[in-house]
This record gives sequence, C-alpha cells and structure tokens, in this order.
Amino acid sequence: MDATYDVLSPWAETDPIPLNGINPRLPELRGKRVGLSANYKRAATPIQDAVEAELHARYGDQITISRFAQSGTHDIGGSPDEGPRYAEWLEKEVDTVIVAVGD
Amino acid sequence: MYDTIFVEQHHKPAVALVNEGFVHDARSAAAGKGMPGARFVPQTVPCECTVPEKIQRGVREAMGDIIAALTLPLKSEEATPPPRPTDVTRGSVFSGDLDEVQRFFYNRGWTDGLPILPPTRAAVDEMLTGTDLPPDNVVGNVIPRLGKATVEKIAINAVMAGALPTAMPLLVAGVEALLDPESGFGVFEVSTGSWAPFYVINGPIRAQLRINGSTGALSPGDLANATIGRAMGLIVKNLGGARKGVEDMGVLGNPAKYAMVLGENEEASPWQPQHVQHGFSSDQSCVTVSFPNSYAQIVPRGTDDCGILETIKDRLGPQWRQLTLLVCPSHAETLAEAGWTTQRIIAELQRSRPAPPATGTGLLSGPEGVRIVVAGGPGAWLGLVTGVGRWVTKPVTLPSDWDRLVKKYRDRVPNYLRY
Repeated sequence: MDATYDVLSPWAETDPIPLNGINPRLPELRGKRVGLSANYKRAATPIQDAVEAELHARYGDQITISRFAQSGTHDIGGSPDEGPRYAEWLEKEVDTVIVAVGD
Repeated sequence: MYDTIFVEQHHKPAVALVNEGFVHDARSAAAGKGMPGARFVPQTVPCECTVPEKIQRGVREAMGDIIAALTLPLKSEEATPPPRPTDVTRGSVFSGDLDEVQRFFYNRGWTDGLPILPPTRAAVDEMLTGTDLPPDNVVGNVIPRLGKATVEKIAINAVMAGALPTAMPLLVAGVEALLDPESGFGVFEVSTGSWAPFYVINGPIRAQLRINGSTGALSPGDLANATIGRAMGLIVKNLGGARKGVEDMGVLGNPAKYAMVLGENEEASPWQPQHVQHGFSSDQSCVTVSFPNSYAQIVPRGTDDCGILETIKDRLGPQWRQLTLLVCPSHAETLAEAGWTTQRIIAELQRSRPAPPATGTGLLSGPEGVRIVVAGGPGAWLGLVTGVGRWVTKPVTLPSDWDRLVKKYRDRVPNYLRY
C-alpha cells in the first residue's frame, strides 16, 4: 500500500461542439398552429390526446392542432425515412411543437 | 430530447414533456447535442402509462408549464449558452497510493464499483504492445458524450479492468462493433430496458487467449472472458460517459453489464461457427455483439431432436424480437444427427413463433431474428438469450508480433484447468 501510482485518466476527450440557443418563443398561442409530436413509446400518443384536449379546453378553435406520430424506434431526425417527412411537417404545418416522449 | 432539438434546429420553438424521473437525462441529452437551453417540462404521467385517468391528470397538472415553456421570453443563457468547462484528460491526473487511487477513480464515477488496477504510464504502455495501431488513433466517438475512443484510452480502461495486452485486438474490434450503427448501441446502452452487450468470440483467438466457450463459459473465473467484458464496460462508461440514472436509465439494470463474453465452442460443434455462417472465414477471429437483456436456461423435456426443439418452441415469447440460442454440444450433435442444420432450426422457430400482439414489432421475424451459437460443456442445458436489434460482427486485426505476445501471456491459467 506504500507504493505511489501516477495514473492516467480513462475519461475520453471530446471535440468542442457548437452551442446553439433555442428559438424565441411565441407571444401567445392564440392564432397559432401547435404541433403535437409523439415518439414511438406507447404512452406518447395518449399523452398527446390529453394535451390536445387541454389545449382545446383553453383555446377552443383559436388554435390549430397538427399531429405527427413517429413509427420507427430511432432518433427521428436521423431517420432517413421519417426525418425528411418530419422536417417537412415542421416547415409547413406548425408554428410551435410540444413533444411527448412517453417516459 | 433529440426530437425537441431537431424541432428547434428547424427554427420552431419547442418543449418536451418528460417523466419527472428523467429530468437529468433530458438535461444531459440537450447539453450533449449542444443546446443546453432546450426546454422541457417534467410531468407525473408514469412511464409507458396505459391508464387514461393518470395520463389526463398528469398532463392537466403540467399544462400551465407547457404553455409557459412555449411563450415565456428566453433567458440570456437559453439564447446564448455559456461555454462548457473542458475535462482534463491527458497526462497524469492523480498520484497516490493504491487506496487513494481507488477512491479517486470511484469518486469520479470511473469504475464499475469494483477495484481497478492503476493505469500507470508503464502499465498502459505494456497494454499498447497488444496492437500496432498508434495510441492516438481514434477508433470512433462513443455516445452519448461522443468521447474519442483513442487506442490509448481503450488501453487505459483495459489496464483498469485487469486485461492482458492480448485482449487489445478484441477490444478495438469490440468498440468498432458497438459503434456500427447497425448495433443500435446508442439506444440500447441507455435504454430503460437495461440491454447489455453480449460478446461472442469466434476463431483462433479463443484458444490463444483462453476464452472459455465450454463449461461455465458465462460464469466468473476466466481471465479473458471476465476482463474483456469488464474492459468493454469501462470503455462504454468512460469514453461514452453514460452515467447510471443520468444517461443510462435502465430501470432494473443488468449484471451482464459487468461482463457477458463467451467463445463459441467451435470444436464441439457439428455446424459451421456462427461467424463463418455470416461470411467470415474459419481462420478469421471475430467478435460479435448483440444487446440482450435476459438469459434463461432450460432443460429439454426430451433429448431427441423433437424434445429439444419442441421445448424451445414452447418457450418462445410473443414479444421476442431477437434470440441468440445457446446450444450445448450434446444437443447440437443430436440435432445435427437428425438432419437439422442451423438454417432449418431457425426457420422452424420462426415458423412456429407465437402470433405477435397487434402493437408488436420485430418478434424474431426480421431477416435475422435468431442466431445459434454452440456453447457450454457436458450436460443438457440450453440458453435463450433474448434481446433487441441486430448482431454485428467485426474481424479482429492482430499485431505483427502476435505469436510472441500470445506466448508471453499464455501461462496465465488456473492450475485446475486444462482447455
């Protein structure tokens, strides 16, 4: 137990990643198109059902709801199948998005 | 959180709803993707909940926060995140006696809970004799931290695990296998399902390293099996940075994350080794990784081919997605004598699998739902290793002085064993 050990770190180096801020928020939701995105977990879509019901209860028809349900089990942005469809949905159909993860 | 960041990257404000137990995970995922200010709202809906009343209550309680997350102006750090501190990873990081080293490493979360061997410069240099690759060669970046898996960092973790330098070629190939997108490592290593990497070794390296594929292959006691699995676990932990309860959200955890390594018992198999069946030559050493989370052992109700196969078929679960079937040598011989090839067995199992539930996926039905590995010693047990994803096999590249290296370390064998 008396020996002294100079030890190296097992912890990996990382390349610095560019840091990005988030987008400015909407002043309010009235008059906006709210996207509800659900991943593949089984609670995600029922959660969005509940969110949609709550939004309708608060805003009635003053907001528009658009839904997107992921079918694959991978990171949607990296999915060659769903990623482009998701991006198109974001561009054309929504002003802001609530993402339900399911856990 | 990745979906939420994807939305923000497409210039739309977003908020994620996450279970309240996943707050650290959400924060880490956002930071790891370079968007630490991404907004999320913890909610009380239980994970994977199927009870409508609980879902509605949890959402109702969170609704005010959800709307606020979409409408409240940004704080300065959300709009312009401050730079992150960088970790010191080069050179000597600590000096102390054995107990102090253990404490230093454990306190930083760099161990698997067991004591480690100190990775001194001399020990790491010896480990590096196990490969011709330069120490700064980057094998890949390990998620979620995207840590650089340099050959030297692999060697440091191998020293800590107690591995011999002859393990280095396998460890490099193991990292390559994990980082192959086909393996699904990025999802499975941190999943609530506690999937653990299972490494099957094929080819001549099994004998050269004394990797056990016979009696008790998956039990502790074999230096190669134990330290290769342990080193891979430390590599995942220290290069990828997946912390338990932060990024690794495995609900129950899995003892196989310590080590689940075996060599296929090729010498006792009537069939071609599994790596040969998937395109590699018999003299090529390979490592194959998959991600099971369960391992059941069964005795067939009869020792003829029907008894063996019917017992397996009875055990197939409707939700199973991937099965590695471990067949002990005596059952393999029985099946082969009755004319069963591995391909026929796999087809038979897939044909007879239970009907999946309406919402099910996979269920042994993919192009590769089942693999057969001959393993174990005398006896009558079968192993059902069930998991997800695909098997990924990588060839092992040996250093130029391999024969000398094998000879140097080959005397490490318990005196009660003769393989």
